[in-house]
Amino acid sequence: MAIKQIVIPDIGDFEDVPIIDVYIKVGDVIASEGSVVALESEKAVLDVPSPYAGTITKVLLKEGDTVSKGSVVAEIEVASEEVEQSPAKEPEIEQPAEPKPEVTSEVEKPAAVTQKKETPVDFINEQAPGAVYHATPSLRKYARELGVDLALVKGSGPNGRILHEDVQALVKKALSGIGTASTSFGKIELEDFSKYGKTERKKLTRIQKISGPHLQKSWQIIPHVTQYDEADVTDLEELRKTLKEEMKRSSDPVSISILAFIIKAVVAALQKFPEMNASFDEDSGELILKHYYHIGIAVDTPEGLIVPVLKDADTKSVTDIARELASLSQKARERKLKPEDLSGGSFSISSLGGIGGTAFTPLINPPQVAILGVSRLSKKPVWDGKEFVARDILPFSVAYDHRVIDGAAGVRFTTYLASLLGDLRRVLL
Amino acid sequence: MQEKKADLVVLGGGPGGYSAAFRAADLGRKVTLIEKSPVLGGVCLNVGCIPSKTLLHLAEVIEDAEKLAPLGVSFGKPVFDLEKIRAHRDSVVSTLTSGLDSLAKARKVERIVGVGTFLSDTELKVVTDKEELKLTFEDLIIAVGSRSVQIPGIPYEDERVWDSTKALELAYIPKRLAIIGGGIIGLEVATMYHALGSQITIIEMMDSLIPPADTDLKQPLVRKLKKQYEAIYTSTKVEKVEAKKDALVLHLNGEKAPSTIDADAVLVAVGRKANSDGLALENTSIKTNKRGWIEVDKKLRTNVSHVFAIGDVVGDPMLAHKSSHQGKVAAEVASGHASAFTPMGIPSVAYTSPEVAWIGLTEAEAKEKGIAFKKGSFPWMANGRALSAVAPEGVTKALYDEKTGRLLGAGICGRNAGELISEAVLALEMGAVAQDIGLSIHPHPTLSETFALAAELAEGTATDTLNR
Repeated sequence: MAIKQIVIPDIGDFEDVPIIDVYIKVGDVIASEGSVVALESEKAVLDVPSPYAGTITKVLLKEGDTVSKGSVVAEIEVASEEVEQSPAKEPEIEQPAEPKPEVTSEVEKPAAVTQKKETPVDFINEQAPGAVYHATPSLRKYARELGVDLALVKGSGPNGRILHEDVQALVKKALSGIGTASTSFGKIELEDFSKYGKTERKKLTRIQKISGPHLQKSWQIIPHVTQYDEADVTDLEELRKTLKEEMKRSSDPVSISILAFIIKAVVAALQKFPEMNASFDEDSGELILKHYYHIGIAVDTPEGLIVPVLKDADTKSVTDIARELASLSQKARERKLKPEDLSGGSFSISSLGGIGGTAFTPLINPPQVAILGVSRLSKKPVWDGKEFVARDILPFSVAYDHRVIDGAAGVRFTTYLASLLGDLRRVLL
Repeated sequence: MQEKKADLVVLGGGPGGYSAAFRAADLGRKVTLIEKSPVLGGVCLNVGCIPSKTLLHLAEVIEDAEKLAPLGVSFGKPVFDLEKIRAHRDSVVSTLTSGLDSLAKARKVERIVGVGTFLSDTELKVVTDKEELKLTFEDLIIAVGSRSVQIPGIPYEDERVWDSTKALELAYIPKRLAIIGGGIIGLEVATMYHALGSQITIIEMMDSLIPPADTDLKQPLVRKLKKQYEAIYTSTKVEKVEAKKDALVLHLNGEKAPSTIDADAVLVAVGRKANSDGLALENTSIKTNKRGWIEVDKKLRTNVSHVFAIGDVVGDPMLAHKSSHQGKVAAEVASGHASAFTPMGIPSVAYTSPEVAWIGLTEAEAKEKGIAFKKGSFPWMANGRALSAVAPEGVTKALYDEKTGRLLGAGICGRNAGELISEAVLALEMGAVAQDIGLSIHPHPTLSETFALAAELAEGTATDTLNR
């Protein structure tokens, strides 16, 4: 028998991820590859398996602890033959990397006032034969005065010689970065709110912290245009109610929400307007059209907004879609989504209709180029040529990237989508 | 003891010291300059570079005149009036030192003629003819220079035993002059006394003259000296010097050297020693290394942050142009500027005939450091101006980085090499590549062309000679 350590394996670029569940306790007998803890990483939950079978002798971490690659989770007593049998994954016991100091700009800021004998930044900028950079004596002096480390400057002169302009450009860039904080988009100045009344501080959830910069990037980089429309889904609602009745007698009942129909209609609309199911390659100036229909569905959870992806929606029936939606939402709420459940979306739908609202502007989920927002279904009087009749009206909006989709295309898409939702038979066309 | 307060004190008035004092004054510091001699300029100006170059100029003209005799122009045998020569030398020196006096005055530099020693990290004891002072300073720059090294077994009290200062006095012209030390100083004194008629013997402990210079670079000089001088004994030690009435007897120890030689005068020029031992550094926390060189960083700060040291007292190379540059850097750093002493090379010049000068990496250093280079070496025999000037003894060589072509170092042996090397200094600091130098049009016919031709040879584009 031998004592072995169970450590966190390489989980990608993640560091300091919280443990959300510990499945083991001292004395537990577990099989090789049996889960020991669950980690919350990038919106998904990862189960960490034990590389050994044996009896847990010590549990070194608890729920809420943060771990990185190499953190020791537990000690396990394993049979000696077991040790020999598992040479493939001998975990390296490694200390978690030291957190790197945050670098806000490439160059240290020169102090505003250079005091005698207190040169704040001490770049000697010596140039030995074969030095990595190439700069003349006057330039070396200039860089010293500005506190610029020439090793960081890319020379644009002959033979890569660093010019005065290169140093100036770097300093300008560094100066323009002064004042930025956690994100590179600037920040809102706060006030002393205590003079207005009592306050308390509430930490953002991990999901909010991760999704925040992503949403901000979308909002700042993509020129959004939102097209509003409404669909008459009276017939669709009739069908849905009929199906609901039928499901009561089914051996395998499933609750079919209007969202399942919307997904089916959206796929048909995307097939007609392929530039909506695309990504924009700014570097090449090309639109990457996707020949797959993976629809991201925004799900509200207590931890924040999560967008699991329903894959290959074009090949699935409405009932299949309804079943998968139910399972994805449940996983999301239980924080059991895996990274693969969250990746690969080609278009997204944000449905707030269950809560309320008449219209809203959804934010595009980059690198996608469009998103559908669905608001609350309601009865509205509609003029049928002779009289007002009560119809089920579904308000919706489509936000799109105006760099790649123009206004006419946007409204054609919403009009077509409204017509599909009005008469779902058109999906077959 | 009278007590005084000072802002910035410079200890030593040589080229490093006065440059530091003047630069600091220009930057707004109140400067006190302490120098034991009533004249500024130190060894270099008073008893070194300047008087030696004055005398070497005579040697050059004498030699040039002699060279013309077989070409059909004869001046007859030169006649020396040593008194006039000494007066000329002194007038050159005093022109320069009085110039420094007025520059110091115009800058309101307070001068103290005296010797300063440390009482602590912040206080100096200054002894002058009249008084003793206790000087408390804010910043201090040590620039006290160096002196000739003395080796044992030599009767220094004998009038016929010289150091470089004594040699430059030009008291008389010895018939047989033995020179212990075949470095730059020894060879310059040899050059001047040979022109004045002395028979020269050189004894060098290392296996070659001017040890730091590459063999192929100094070869034109060595070959000429071997013909001109009585003897050159390399890898030879002087065990002792006996002072006899009619001669000094040098006892030698070297494979190819006789056991004794006689001489009428002996110059001891075996190196220079930092003058850090006279500063009472034991009263401070300032550190020196084993050789007595004061340790400084690139900003020329000692380990006491308001005390700087520059020039010979911080070690090799002990050259005036290094000191004056360091003096300015120290003054700037002490005054809060972001300066540092980071040259890519410091040129060395031997004012021999022909001259030898070099900058940056030597070939031997490049090989030792494993730096891959390509080399261009142009012999002066193929240069029109050198032949016209009856100065065919010479070579210009340069080393370039094998990959980037950037100049790594250069050496010139030949007439005016000390002047010509400056182009290589500039090229090195500016990061010139071989092509830059070869494609810059040099005037023809000149000696300076050889630097461009060496670059072309390295590039394989030369036409004035075969590209090898």
